[in-house]
Parts: sequence; structure tokens; C-alpha cells
Amino acid sequence: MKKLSLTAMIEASFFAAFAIILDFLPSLKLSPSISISAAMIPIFILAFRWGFKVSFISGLLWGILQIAMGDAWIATPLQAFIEYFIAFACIGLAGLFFRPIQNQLRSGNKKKALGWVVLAVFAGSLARYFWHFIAGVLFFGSYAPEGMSPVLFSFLANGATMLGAAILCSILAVLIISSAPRLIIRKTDEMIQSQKSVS
Amino acid sequence: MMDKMIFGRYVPAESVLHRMDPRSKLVLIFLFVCIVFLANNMLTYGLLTVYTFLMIALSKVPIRFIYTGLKPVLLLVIFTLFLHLFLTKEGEVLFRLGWITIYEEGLRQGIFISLRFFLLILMTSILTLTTTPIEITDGLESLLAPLNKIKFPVHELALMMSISLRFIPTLMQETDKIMKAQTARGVDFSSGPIKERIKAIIPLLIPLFVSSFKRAEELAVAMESRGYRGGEGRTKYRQLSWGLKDTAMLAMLAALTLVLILLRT
Repeated sequence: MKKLSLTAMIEASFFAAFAIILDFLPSLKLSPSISISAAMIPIFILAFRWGFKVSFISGLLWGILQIAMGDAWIATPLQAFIEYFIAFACIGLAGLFFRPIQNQLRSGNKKKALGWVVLAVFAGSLARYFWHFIAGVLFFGSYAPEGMSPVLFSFLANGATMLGAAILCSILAVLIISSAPRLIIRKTDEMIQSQKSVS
Repeated sequence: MMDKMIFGRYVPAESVLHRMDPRSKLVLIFLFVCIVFLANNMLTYGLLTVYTFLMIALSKVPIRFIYTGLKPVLLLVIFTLFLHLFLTKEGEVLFRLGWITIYEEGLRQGIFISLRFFLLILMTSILTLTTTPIEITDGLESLLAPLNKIKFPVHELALMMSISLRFIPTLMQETDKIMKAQTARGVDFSSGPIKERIKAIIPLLIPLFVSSFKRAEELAVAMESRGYRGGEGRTKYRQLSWGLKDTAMLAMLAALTLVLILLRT
């Protein structure tokens, strides 16, 4: 594993911090009863700016920070590992779409780039909530009585949240990137440097 | 709000648990989370409960702090209890009222499993109530150091965690400032139709992100000019020290584990 550039590391730390902050701000929640938050947005922006590795680490960092700050709830060791280490890191999978998004944006194809952005946001959300779903099955498997299907329950609960979060985040991502593409396009000299260190 | 962001749920106090090495606390909690599943009868659950409350007493954290942390989860604990009460249909019938029938096994399972859940939440909150996030970071870095051998970047992750924790209050302040500036221009973040509120978030996030890129650049330059070049040979300002109380606490947990194994059925 090659070392990340210091700038990439620091940006990943800042954006994990943003994710925590967005989770904290009650006034930005769309409605008090539905807990659909825009907290994944920073990780997605980072994914489109740096690619998979940086966003993966930033997501992982977000998960561990939640444990350190006492926001995590731990029911079984395996559930905690899946839910806070694997699930959040997997948001970074959105970064796999880094190349097409960058290429389309640089060649001026804004519409196509935004299409890829939506796809990437859904891929990242799906990857995250897939693990929450697995953790849910494990959790309900050891806590719920027999006769209740843990798979179905976890699927419904996580599926609904995932859809909500993915839709909100893709709207926000499209709005942000279409009005400020400079957020995800780094300066070219940085670009050459990071291609050496990231890829 | 600000304090909450800096310290997580940490409550300062003078206690054995506060003074313990974060490494031993992390190991202790991890082992506790594992051995909770050994309990399967009245006696073993009783022992675990006594141990947990002993820990709470040792931590000297006022009960109301523990209670505020528990509130959101308490509902889930009660929900688990009722789920078992109504859905487990084994053992003798204890109680029947109309369509509700409560079986002996249901009551037993319900109480045990919700108690297990409750104890786990209590113990993990004791960790974050007595340890600052930065101490947890130092502890994790030291415990996970062997992973460096398989090229897992433990040091880099720990450094990034410290940077995040250090900058959460700063970035929070900035968020607050921009939110106020936008509110002064008539943006409404907390009410109105959903479409308007989504639109309102954009002029908050973009300046926030732009300024944080600038700040990241500055920090990188500052670190490099002071000679930062990765984990190797870097000395620490905060030193961890393993003491007698850490060994004693772990020994106590080991004894509890042994007793649990002997008493379980």
C-alpha cells in the first residue's frame, strides 16, 4: 500500500469530521421523525475529488470516530465491527467512479458526469447499507425471538433508510457539483503528483 | 453543543477508571462484550449486573449523565423485552388476558436478553464517559500497532483521527458562522418545504468545503515544513503508562470470566 499524500490525508480527516458534524446538526434534518441525514455527502465529495482510496479511508475514519466519541452502540463484537468499520468504509466505493466523473467533467460533459455522480452515490449508499443489513440480521438473530424473520425485518428497515439517504445525497451531490465543479477538480500540478501517489 | 463536540460524551472526574490506561480500558470493554454471551442463567446474569454496577460506582460519573446517554436506547431495550414476551411460545402459561398470552420461557428470555443488551450499552458508555476520544485514539494506535507489520497504516489512521478530533470544534465553529451568515441573508434551515431546505444546505456546504481545502493545504505545508515524514521514529507528547490498577482490573475481569464459565448451565 503506497502512502497517501499529506494533503489527501488531511482532507480525509477534515471530511470525516464534517460527516460527524452534519450528523450532529439537528436543524439540518429534513424531518424529526425520519432520520435521513446528509452526513454521507462529505465522503462522496472526497470520493469524486480523490478516488477510491482516500474516500475509503475517510469513511473508515468516520466509523472509528463514532466509536471514540461514544455515538456507537455495540450489541455484539461482530455487529460492531461490521457496522462501524466495514459499513462506513464501504461508502468509499463511490470513489471507484472517480475516473469517468473526472473525465466527463474535464471534457465538458456536465450532464454525463452528473449521471455518473448519481450512480456513484447509489453504489456507495448500497454498499454501506448492505453491511448494515447484514449486521441487522446478525443483531436480530441473537436478540429477537424465534418466529420473527430477521432477514425481512432488517431488509425493510435498512432498505427504506438507504433509499432515503441515497436520494437525498444524490440530489445534494448533483446540486453541489453542478454549481461548484471546482470542489472536485484539483489543480493540475496536484493532479500529476497525486496520480503518482494515489494510483 | 461545543463541549459535546470536543469531548464526545466524556465526563471529567477523579476516579480509578478515569486514571486507567486507555489500552487496558479498551481491552477490558472488548473482553466484557465477549463474555456477556457466556451468561445463561439467573446467577450468571446476576453476577454480570453486579459487576457492571460496581464499575459505574467506581467511575464516579453522576447517574444523570449515564441516564441521558441511555435514553435513546432504553426504548429499544424495552421493545426487545416485549417482543420476547409476546412472541416466544414455550414453557408454561403464566398469564392470559384476551388474546395476550405470556409464557414462562418468554418472560425468562425477554428479561435475560434485554438485560444483556442493557449491560452492554452501560459498559460501552462507561468507556466513553471516562475516556476522552483522543485517549481512545492513542490507546487504539498502541493496541493495533502489530497490524503495521501487514502494511495496515495504523499510525496514519491514528494521526488522521487526532486531526479530525482536533478540527471538529474548529470546523463546527465555521459551520455555525456560515449558517448565521446565511440566516442573516434570509435562508431558513429549519422550516419550510423540503425542496427549499435542500436548496438551503447548498450555500452552506460549498463555502465550508472550499475553506476546508484551503485549511488542509495550509496544515500540510505547516506539517511538512516542521519535518513530518510519517510514523517512523516519531515521538509522542502524550505518553501511555500501564500501572498496577490496569493489571488488577484485568485480573478481576479474568476472575469474573472463570466464575461465569463455572456457573453457566
